[in-house]
Amino acid sequence: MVVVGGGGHGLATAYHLAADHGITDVAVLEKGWLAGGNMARNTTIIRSNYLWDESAGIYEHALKLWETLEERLGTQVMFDQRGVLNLAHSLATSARPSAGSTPTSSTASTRSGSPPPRSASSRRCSTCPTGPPPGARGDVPAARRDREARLRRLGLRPRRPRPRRRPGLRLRGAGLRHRRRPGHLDPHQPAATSRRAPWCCARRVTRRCSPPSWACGSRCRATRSRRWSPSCSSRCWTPS
Amino acid sequence: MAAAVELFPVFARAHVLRTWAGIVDVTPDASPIVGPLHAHDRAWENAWINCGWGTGGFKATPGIGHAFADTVAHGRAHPLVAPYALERFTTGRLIDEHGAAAVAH
Repeated sequence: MVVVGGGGHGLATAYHLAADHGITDVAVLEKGWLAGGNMARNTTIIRSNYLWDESAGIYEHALKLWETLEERLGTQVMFDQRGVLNLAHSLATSARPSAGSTPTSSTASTRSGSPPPRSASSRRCSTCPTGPPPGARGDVPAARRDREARLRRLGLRPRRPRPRRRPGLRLRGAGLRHRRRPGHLDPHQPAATSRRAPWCCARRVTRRCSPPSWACGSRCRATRSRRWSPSCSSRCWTPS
Repeated sequence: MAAAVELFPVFARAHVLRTWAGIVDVTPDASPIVGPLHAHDRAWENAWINCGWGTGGFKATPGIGHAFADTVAHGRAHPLVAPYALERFTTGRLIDEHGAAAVAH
């Protein structure tokens, strides 16, 4: 019997093969430290409150074995049953899955029916549960390049937008450099990621500019924002 | 960290004790894959897999050690790990644990 991987699972399997089933010719292969991953470094929580019975079954079985593990192994494993209180956490919304990829984050993808397709030409939107409508233009950098090219042809010098400030902490106790802004929907996200995409259904089209291109260069009066806005586009999509 | 400080500004003065970053193996339904490999190919007659635990493998260590050893020793799936066979991705009997609890570990 060969067990590939000498982490907690591999070692526990080898132990139970020998202890419970009398299979003692077990080789455990490990390229690094034995039990050097979650057992040694980075995981602490033991629980069995899961959604489905299949999950609760295996985790409850494990929890019962954890309770007698020190007795059984005759060694200290620092098992101590107490509560846990999570004060704050944020999930990695930038890892929101697209249709063809593996979901890595828990909430956003399962609660909205169809996650927005994510590609180089469509910006992610933090408010709109659906993807862009067919034919929507979401490629802001391309539109900006297009506008700059037109300005250069007119002999004007395009003004680059200033880089956005990212949230961050100063080293010593000064506090947060993160401020809410108009249109800044999720205070936990920096402005760049919570900006509505140009195809977002949350922004109704109220007036149109001339020429009918959302990169036309005029400010959006409807939203009182200094950002380029899609409100002057004939391609804008209103919720049905 | 920005989220924590937004909720509790006093945390800005706290020191970070420990951080960790790494890669975890996550399956499409956020549940592990435990079982035989020989359902589709007889070449894998005696191979058994136990993987895809994501961030939940630590707490299951003694339980899956016991159940997986029982599975391998008897050549059939232990009742506790039978639902986790690889075939669930073809039969559609998924164990969808996405968003099941606020704790992600």
